[in-house]
Amino acid sequence: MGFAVTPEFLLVFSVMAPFMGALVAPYLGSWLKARAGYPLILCFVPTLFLIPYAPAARSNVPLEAGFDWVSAIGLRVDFRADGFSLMFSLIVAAIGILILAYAAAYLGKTERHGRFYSYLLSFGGAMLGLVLADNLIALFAFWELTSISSFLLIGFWGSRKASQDGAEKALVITALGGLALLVAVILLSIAGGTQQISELDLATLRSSPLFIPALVLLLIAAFTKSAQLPFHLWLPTAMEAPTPVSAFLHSATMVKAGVILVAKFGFLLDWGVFSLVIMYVGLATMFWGSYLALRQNDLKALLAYSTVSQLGILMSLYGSGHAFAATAHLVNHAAFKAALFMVVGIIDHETGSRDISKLSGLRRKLPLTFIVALPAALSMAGLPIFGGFISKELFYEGMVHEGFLPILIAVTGSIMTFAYSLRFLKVFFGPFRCENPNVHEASYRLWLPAAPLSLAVIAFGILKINPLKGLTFKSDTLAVWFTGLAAPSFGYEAEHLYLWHGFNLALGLSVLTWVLGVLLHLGRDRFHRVQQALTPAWNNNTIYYKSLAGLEHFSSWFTHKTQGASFATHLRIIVATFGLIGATVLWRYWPAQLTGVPLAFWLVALLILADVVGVLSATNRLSAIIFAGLAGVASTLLFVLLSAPDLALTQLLIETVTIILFLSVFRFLPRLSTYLRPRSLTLLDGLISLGVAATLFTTLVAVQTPIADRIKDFYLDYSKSIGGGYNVVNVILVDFRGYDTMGEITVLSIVAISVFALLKIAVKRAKAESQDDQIS
Amino acid sequence: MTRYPEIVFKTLAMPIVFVLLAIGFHFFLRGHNAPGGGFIAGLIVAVTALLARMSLDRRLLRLEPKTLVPIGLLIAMTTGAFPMLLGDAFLKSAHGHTRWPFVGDFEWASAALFDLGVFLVVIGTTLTIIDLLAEDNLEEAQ
Repeated sequence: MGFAVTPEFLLVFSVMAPFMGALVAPYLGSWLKARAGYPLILCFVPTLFLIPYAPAARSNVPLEAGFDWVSAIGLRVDFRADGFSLMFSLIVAAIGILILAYAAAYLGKTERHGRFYSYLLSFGGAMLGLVLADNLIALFAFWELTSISSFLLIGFWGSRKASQDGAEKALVITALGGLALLVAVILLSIAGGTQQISELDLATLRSSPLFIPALVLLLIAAFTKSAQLPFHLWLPTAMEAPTPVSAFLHSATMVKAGVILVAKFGFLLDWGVFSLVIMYVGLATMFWGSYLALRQNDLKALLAYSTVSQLGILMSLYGSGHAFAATAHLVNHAAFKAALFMVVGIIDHETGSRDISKLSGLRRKLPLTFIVALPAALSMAGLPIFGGFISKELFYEGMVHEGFLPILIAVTGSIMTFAYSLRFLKVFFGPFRCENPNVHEASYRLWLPAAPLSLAVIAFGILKINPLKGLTFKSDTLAVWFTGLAAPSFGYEAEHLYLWHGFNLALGLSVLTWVLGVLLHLGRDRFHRVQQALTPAWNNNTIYYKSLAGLEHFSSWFTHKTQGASFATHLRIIVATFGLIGATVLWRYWPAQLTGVPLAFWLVALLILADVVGVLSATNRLSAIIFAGLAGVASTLLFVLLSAPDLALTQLLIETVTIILFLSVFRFLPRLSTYLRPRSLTLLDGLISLGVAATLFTTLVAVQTPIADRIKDFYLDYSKSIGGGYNVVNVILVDFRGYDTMGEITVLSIVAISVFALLKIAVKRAKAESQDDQIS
Repeated sequence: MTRYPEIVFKTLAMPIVFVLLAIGFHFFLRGHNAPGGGFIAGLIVAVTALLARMSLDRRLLRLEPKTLVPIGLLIAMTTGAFPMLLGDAFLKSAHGHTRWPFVGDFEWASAALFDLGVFLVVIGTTLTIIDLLAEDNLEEAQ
């Protein structure tokens, strides 16, 4: 009874496990409340079991697995744990585990825990899927899933106005990118002739005219998701999400999706003008993000703009082909930023405030939190022995090669980064000041999940960890393992990362950064005044809200103009269009010959015609209903003449039910005299009716002989042998065309539900009105 | 709406209801080989149920008619999905003969079960709508 866990199964399972957890989470949440986070950690564990496949990924024979999604149209979901994907999925899983543990302590008693964990785990699964996907369509699907789960998580406290705005903004902007990505993956799969990302061939793609549009759209997707200028505005407002969410999605993982896209498709984008565009957009974002981070008073907002800025660094590095430096920084940033967000969460949780101007000296009251925060913040600042220093050096080295302007922006941005990192740490130093005097250290359940990340920040600088063999102290770093893992994906050789590079230009620039950073920090008040003075009256946000309002205005104008007409006019337009089509066809292709019609049919037709005239000339409701019923019964005769007893029976019954229906609503029908209309309108309606008749006639002529003959024989021949019945009509209904019937009864059910709902509403309203009458 | 039922109507209604029900079920069962089937039978039974309500002021079923809709849909869906368990296509049909004691040769078809679903949905929908329209509360509310 052995169930062997194949590597392929493990790979698929590691993506599916969080989704399964998302299904269980609502039940666990209502049972265990916030603590449901602890058992749910198991959902990210399967990913960690992928570590043994790292050496294979390193030697470029990655684990691959997949399954059919919709085989009829050739859709598949493929996963491929190549070095970079594996590396990033390990980051997602590791931070996911810590965040779940953190959230279990962070969430209050009254939250909707099940929902929270369910959303968070769906996001985790989507993110793992996005990273590991080797299929363009699957990549898009997972991409959209991360947008949706992000929307749900930002709007988790949906009763707050700011949450609604933040969630909406994030969705509008990332969905825009999602649409761009959809078109991009379709273009790429057409141009490349395959949906497998690993099988895309640069030469084939370049020869296609679709290549450039695909790349442009790919970039739009990447820029929106990774909050690059000018799409950065959604990320700061996304901080309305609960802090565990901000730490997980909006700093460490999801916002890196755009960077991942650029990294994954780097071999396509490493191409003249594109790499320049990405690099400069990234640098501009980096500069602008750190400039805005400096002026924030809210700790979380400071981190949000810092994230925007750091994403800019990653974007510019991957864009300009410095994948090694980029990967090193990606790992570093994920660790220190998630840790810092958790620290902000703790501060908020314990002091009830995130305002930098109101907090200081927290070191005395929150000593353990301070110990966790210190390495992470210093790593963000780029000081030695921490991982951030190494990747900052690599960033400088890379930008030095790109020319004077890039290195100038890089250094300026880093000076501001250094300054805002100090500003962040300031809340821990100085005399104790806080509105809530009874501050005490947070529970270990809050700071412990952040601690491993701070350790990692240090370990990146000084430790070498081989997950398979344990810890060894060497001049190499943990970052080497991670960056080395990603090496085959980018084709670089994993260099050794040293804290000490010798005296070189990068080190000189680092020293310059620190000096100017400290000066900027000291002169921050003066700098603030300058920033205040420079603030323009408009920015991206005002443009966003203006265009949103404009869009709403336009759509209501458009709706009013196109659909403002009365119901009768709408109906007239639809029916007239229908009639016009048939009339035109009949006008141009009058049938060459028409088969003769037996006398009996003429008689029935005369009967129907008489009934119709009766309906039209009726002066009261009851006779109109009776004439309409008679017309229906007369058409039943037609079916009898055509020897179709089933149809005749059905028609007869329908007529009966219709009469009953009419009679039961009779009381509510307005008198016919209210339908009086001008002669011109009667004429118009008559013409429309003639057109409709023409259309019906055309349809009948069109489907008459050839098609009917071919199908008829099939049904007659096989009704008994396949369907097991002699009544061909019924066998068609329940067997040959069972799918249609299935659809019809589904529609019927929906109609029943809709009518039920509508009438209930009508009754309720009528009752309410009559009560109002009584009161007044 | 059943406050003053006509005497004749009321007296005749009971036998008529039974005859109509018998006809409805007969039409349902013979549907595969002769005119009839779930749709027609459903309409007949629905009309019968209305007749029973209007004349005798009683329901044929204790069930709310609207619960018949999901039941019927479920039966049809399950019948359709069952072949998938056996590896066949959705809605794949089967039929054959079985010898039952007392009944003799009985011809069955899986499609009949599907038809039962159609039958119930039609009854449910028709009755739900007409019941609501004819309902007293609508009248009261006016």
